Amino acid sequence: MIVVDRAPPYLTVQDAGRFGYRSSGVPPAGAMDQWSLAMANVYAGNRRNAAALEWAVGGGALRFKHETIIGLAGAEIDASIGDRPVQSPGPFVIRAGEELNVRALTARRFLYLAFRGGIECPVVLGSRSTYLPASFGGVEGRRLRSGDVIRSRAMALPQKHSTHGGLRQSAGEPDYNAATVRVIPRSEDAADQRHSGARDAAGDPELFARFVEQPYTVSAASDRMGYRLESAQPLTGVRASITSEPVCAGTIQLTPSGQPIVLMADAPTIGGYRIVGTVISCDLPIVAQCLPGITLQFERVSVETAHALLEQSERALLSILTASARA
Amino acid sequence: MSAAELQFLSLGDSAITVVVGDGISRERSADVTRLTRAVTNAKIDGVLDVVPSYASFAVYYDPRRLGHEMITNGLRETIALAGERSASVAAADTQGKTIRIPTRYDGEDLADVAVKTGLSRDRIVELHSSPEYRVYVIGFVPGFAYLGELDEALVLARRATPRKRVPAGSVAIAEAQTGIYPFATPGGWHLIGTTQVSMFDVAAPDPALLRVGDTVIFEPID
Repeated sequence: MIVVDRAPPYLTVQDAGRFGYRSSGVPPAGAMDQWSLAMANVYAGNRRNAAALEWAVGGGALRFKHETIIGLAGAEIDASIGDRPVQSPGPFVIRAGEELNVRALTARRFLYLAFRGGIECPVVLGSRSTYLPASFGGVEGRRLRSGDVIRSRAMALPQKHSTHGGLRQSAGEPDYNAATVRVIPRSEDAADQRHSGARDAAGDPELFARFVEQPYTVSAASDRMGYRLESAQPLTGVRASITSEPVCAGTIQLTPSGQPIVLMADAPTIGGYRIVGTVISCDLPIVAQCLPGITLQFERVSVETAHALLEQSERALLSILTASARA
Repeated sequence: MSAAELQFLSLGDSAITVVVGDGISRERSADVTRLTRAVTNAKIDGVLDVVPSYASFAVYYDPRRLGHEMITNGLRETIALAGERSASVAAADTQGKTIRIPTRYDGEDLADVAVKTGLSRDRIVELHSSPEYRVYVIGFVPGFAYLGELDEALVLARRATPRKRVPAGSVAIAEAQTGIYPFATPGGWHLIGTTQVSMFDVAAPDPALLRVGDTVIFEPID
C-alpha cells in the first residue's frame, strides 16, 4: 500500500491504453509517453504495459507501507528516498515506511513511476488508464489527491536486483533531445489511389510541404487531449473544417487559425479539422515530453520506414528486458 | 461498392482510413456502416478497432503484429467479399436498432432557440420529436451520438461561447444535428431538453447505448 502524502498538481494511473472501444467514442487514453511507461515497468520488474503513475507539473511525496522496488522513467527529477538521492531513469529499492520525495521535475514533462506488482485498481473497459474527460478508469476516474491510498500487491523482492539505474542507451530508444519529429503525411497513400473524388479526406501534398518548412513551438494550450503548436507563418488559405473523420494520437490537424494541433492520448476519436499527417509511434513519446516553449521541426517519413523504426525500438526494449532480467 | 472505388489513406503507422466518398448523406452513411461491419466481423488478427465516420472509416491495427501490406491486402479482400454479397443482405447489414428517448423539453436554451428560430416552444418540440434520426457518428466523448437530420427550421449555428459544463443527459441541437450529452462536459450546442436515459455505461460489455446506423426517436414527456 502506498499513501499519497503530498499530491503533485497532476497524478493519475495510466497503462498502455484502452483498445476495442473506439467505435463507442472511447479514446485509448493511457500513458502519454509509452516508452517511458514500459521502461518504468521494466525497472520495477513488471510487464511492460502494467499500470503505473503518470506524474506532471510539480513536486509531491508518496509513502510506502511495504518494501518494494520502484521504477522511474520519463522526466528528470530532483528527488530522494529518505536522505538517499534518486534519479530518473532507474530502479530503486524502497523500504517499508520510507517516503519518496520528488521536489521538482527538472526536465521533460511526464514522470512514470511503477511499483513492483503493479497498481491494483479496477479494470474499466479493459484498462486501468484514467480518462479524465469522462471520469472513469484509474482511481475513481480522477487525479490522485493527498491522502489517497494506492493499492499494490506486496511482492517478495528478488534475491538479486540491479539498483544501479541507467541501463545503457541503445539504438531504437527515443531521443528526447531530438529537434525533429517524423510524420507520415496524409497524402501518403496506404494503397494505390485510383480515385481522387474525396477531396476532404485526401491529403494535400502542398499543405504538407508548407507544414514541414518552418519550426513550431509547443503552446501553453497543451494537455492530454492535444498539443497546440505555434509558428511564425500560420498555414492560411486552406479550408480547415472538413467532414469529421477518425483520428488518433499523433494526428496533426490544421485548425481554422492556420496553426496545427497534435492530438494526444485523450483526444476524441473523431475530428473535424483537416489532417496534415500523423506523428509516427516511435516519435510520439518525444512530442509528449515537450514542455510549452520547446521548438520542434517535422519531417516526412513513409509508413514502411515507420514500421522498420518500430521494429528497431521493439528490439531495443527486448534487449533492455533481457539485460534487466540478467542483472 | 468495390475495393477499387475506395481510397486507402494512412493515418500514421497504426491506422488506415478507408474513404468511401464525400459529404454527409444517409446513403453514404449506409455504405460506411456496411463496410465497417464487414471489416469488424472479419476479425482480422491484429486489428484493434474499426471506427466509422460520415464518409470514411478507420481501421486501427497493431503494427507489431500486422505489416503494411498485410493490413491493406486483408482489408481489400474483406471489402471485395462484402461487395459480392447480395444487395438484400447488405441492406439487412446496415439495419440498426431503434431506440426511443423519453425527453422532457425543458432545456436552458429553449427560450433562446424560440427567439432565434421564430418558432413556438410547442412547434420546436413537434419538429424535434417527429423525425426518425440516424446515428451518423459516435465521438466527441464516449457514447456521444451525432444524430441527423434535424428539421431545417431548427438549424442554428453553435453557441458563440461554449458552456464550460453541460449537464449529463442534456438533449441539444447544433447545425443540422441533434445529440445527447452522456457526461457533464464542455459543450457549444443549444440545450433544448433532458433525458434520464443513460447513454454510456462503463460496466456494460457494450458500453455505448447507440451505435452508428441505429435509429433514434425522441418522445416528449411532461
